[in-house]
Amino acid sequence: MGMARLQRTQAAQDDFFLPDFCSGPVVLVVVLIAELVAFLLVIARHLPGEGITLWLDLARLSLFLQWIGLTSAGVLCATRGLLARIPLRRAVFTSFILLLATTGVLSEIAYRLASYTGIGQAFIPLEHGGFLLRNLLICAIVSLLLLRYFYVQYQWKLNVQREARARIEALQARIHPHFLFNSINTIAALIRSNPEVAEHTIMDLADLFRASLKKTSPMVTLAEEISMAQQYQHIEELRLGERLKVTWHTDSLPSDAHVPQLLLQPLLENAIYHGIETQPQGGTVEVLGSREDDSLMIDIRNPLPPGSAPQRQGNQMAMENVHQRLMLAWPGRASLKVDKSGGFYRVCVRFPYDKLTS
Amino acid sequence: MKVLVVDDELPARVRLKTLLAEIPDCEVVGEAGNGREALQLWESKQPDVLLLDIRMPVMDGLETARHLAGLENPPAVVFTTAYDEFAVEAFKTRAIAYLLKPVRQAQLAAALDNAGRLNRVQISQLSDQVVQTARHHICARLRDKLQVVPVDTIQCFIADQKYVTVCHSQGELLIDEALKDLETEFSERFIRVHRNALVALTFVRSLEKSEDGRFLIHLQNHAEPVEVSRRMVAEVRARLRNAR
Repeated sequence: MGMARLQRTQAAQDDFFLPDFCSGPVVLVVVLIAELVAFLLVIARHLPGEGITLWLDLARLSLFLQWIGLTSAGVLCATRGLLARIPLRRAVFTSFILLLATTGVLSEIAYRLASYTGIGQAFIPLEHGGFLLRNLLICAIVSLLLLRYFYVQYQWKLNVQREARARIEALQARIHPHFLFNSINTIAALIRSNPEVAEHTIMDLADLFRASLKKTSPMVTLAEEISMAQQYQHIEELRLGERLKVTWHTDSLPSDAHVPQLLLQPLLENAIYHGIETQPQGGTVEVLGSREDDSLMIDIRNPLPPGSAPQRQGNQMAMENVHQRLMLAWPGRASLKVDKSGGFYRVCVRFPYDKLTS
Repeated sequence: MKVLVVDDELPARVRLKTLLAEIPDCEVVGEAGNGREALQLWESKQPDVLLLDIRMPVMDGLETARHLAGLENPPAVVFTTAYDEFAVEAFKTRAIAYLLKPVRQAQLAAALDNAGRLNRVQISQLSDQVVQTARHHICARLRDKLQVVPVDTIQCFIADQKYVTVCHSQGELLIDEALKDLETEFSERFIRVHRNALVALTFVRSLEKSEDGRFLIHLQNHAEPVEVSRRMVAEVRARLRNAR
């Protein structure tokens, strides 16, 4: 329990816009930034050729800024765990306030130290309020720039992670491991009892995987797509035997219509996985095609398991995948609808009749 | 060693039987297409080991193992699966025997040698981790037979001193489980109406006040009304209203 919480906090911290200010490389960066700001201020304040005063001023400023920079790093390091747990916007704002507070407190200390001891008083040219205000203003500008930089870098990192995850999910949606290993098991059984069927099944499986491993989704004719879905159906028929029946009513569809490859197969797989495999006596999947002027419709329906049988997971991913590819092929002109009524689970895809081989 | 092969796919059963035939001292005493069939066969075939597929219709492998673990003299269980990340992870951590399909001959022989009986604790941890759903069946021994009752045919659970009576559409049976556990497991379907009773919401016909001032629930296909304790009446009413 404690371990789990620790891991969660760890995960939250690793996934935070501020870097870990306790780590060596980040401390080095803080030192460099403080030094750069010191240079900047000195260059802005002095004319070249002022000699010794310039270097003295730089040394003094560096000491002061390093003091502020390293303390700020310490403060952010200590509060990072807490900041990581609050909403991002508030965390950014809070870190900003923390940085200002650190600078304010340290400036105050420096001022008091200088006036009591007399050391370095010459180097604080302003009166109390002006000194504090100037330091806070400089700190505000530098902090805003830095926080903005960390924030943008964090967003970029998130995007990269998100893209990678989306790619993996897309790939997994296409190759269903459950189907792959069950099919291989079926083939292993067939090799002894019926080597010819086993050989044929391997060919079907190879075709399916060749199609599903393609990086892009090429357009194929509807006839090719239906034949691919039927190859898939043959493999499932071997596995599920009598339990699986698929009826095709697709004669009214033009076979030269173009569709994205693997448009139908995932929908058929979905229907079998949820509607047939969960039933001891199996059932019938119906594929109905129809045409309305220049728009084609394919309806895939399977009986809904009776009662409140829990829906197996993974359903959403296949749908999402097919939907995305429909949208890519015909932006705004295709649709995918899911309907659960009358004891059937029904997926209806609608897309334009497209003869072009582009 | 007597083995019962349980898998909903015929080719998978065929393959396991072929492999088992080559292992000496190993006899396939039967095969079943799902967990319920397996439990029904268990009584007559008395297998030493069950090869149990995880994904099956009607009753999956994990629920079957759970019912088996409740038996007095349970058989050993080896789970088989083509692909089930979560289940395999859980088996590994609990040292429960499992085989990945397609199964290798050597691994099958080794698994049969090492197959152990699962105890109730292991099984309940397993179901917590992998399925997190309630059982779909209640299982009990009635005389010398194993009785398997689908939960959706159960009208009520009535607790006695030691046992719980399960009233279902085909009759009654006694189980050795705590009413409290049943209440937690089946909280979606059943509601506690009395210290000693849970009733299925779907079977409730009416809630009435009798002449002597007691509150009674009348259930479909169940002659005897179930008493509702006074302090639970309001809650029962609310649940019934929501269920409709």
